[in-house]
Amino acid sequence: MNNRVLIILSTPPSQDMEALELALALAAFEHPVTLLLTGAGVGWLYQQQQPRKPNGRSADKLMAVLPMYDIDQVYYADGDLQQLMPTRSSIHTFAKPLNTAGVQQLIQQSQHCLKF
Amino acid sequence: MRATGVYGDRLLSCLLFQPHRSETTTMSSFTILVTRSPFDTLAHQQAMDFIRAAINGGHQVKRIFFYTDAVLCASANQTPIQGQNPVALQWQELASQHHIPLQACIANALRRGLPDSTEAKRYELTASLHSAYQLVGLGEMASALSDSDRVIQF
Repeated sequence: MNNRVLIILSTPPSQDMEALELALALAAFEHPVTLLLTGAGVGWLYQQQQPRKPNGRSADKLMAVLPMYDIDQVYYADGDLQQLMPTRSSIHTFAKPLNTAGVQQLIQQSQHCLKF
Repeated sequence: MRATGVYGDRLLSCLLFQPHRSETTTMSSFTILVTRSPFDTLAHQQAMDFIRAAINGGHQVKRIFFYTDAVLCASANQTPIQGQNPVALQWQELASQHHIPLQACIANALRRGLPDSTEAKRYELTASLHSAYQLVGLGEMASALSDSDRVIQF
């Protein structure tokens, strides 16, 4: 078992994106963080999103800084993406698809698993 | 001490079940991460139930960390209907009995109007955080991931 922290986002971006703030903070404290987007959480991957509130930040801009925090392992459940969005061209390219077996393996390999 | 509910015992058993080992499990250390609002689910009651089961089972609970809408439990101004204890007080009783720190994310608490006396002074507000709770940064959660065997989320 490695020391990875897996953060599962299964809900769409919220106004203040506190789930992603936690991911960024843990990475800033040098925890190796992996993101997994499932269900409606694949909405985090949309490019060119509008902020969820006046003067707020947009989810895709926050997602775009993930590599700067060394969060380079971002996955989405491929089956959920196919149900919710028509094309892969509209999502961030650094995210990689995982099938059901891959999702199970990712969870098993993570020491801590947090879900939002 | 309040009796442990069935939920806490069963969850603890599931978490500690290791099919590849025949001997009984050793003591584990837990951090409890609560992220759900105290007003629309049973998450806080289930978390308290789990903590009682863990402590009764000889395990250690290092901290209870409240994040997102869970910080609403730390309001000092809750006034439930007659005969019911505010959830802030329920957490206080459990935490003080077992010497467990109650930590609320400072950014999340301030967003929801729950400054402690220090932050209230800084922002010229009225303090509304219950005195049993500490406002802390996410560095505490980062420490929790390092120094606890398990982080259990409710």
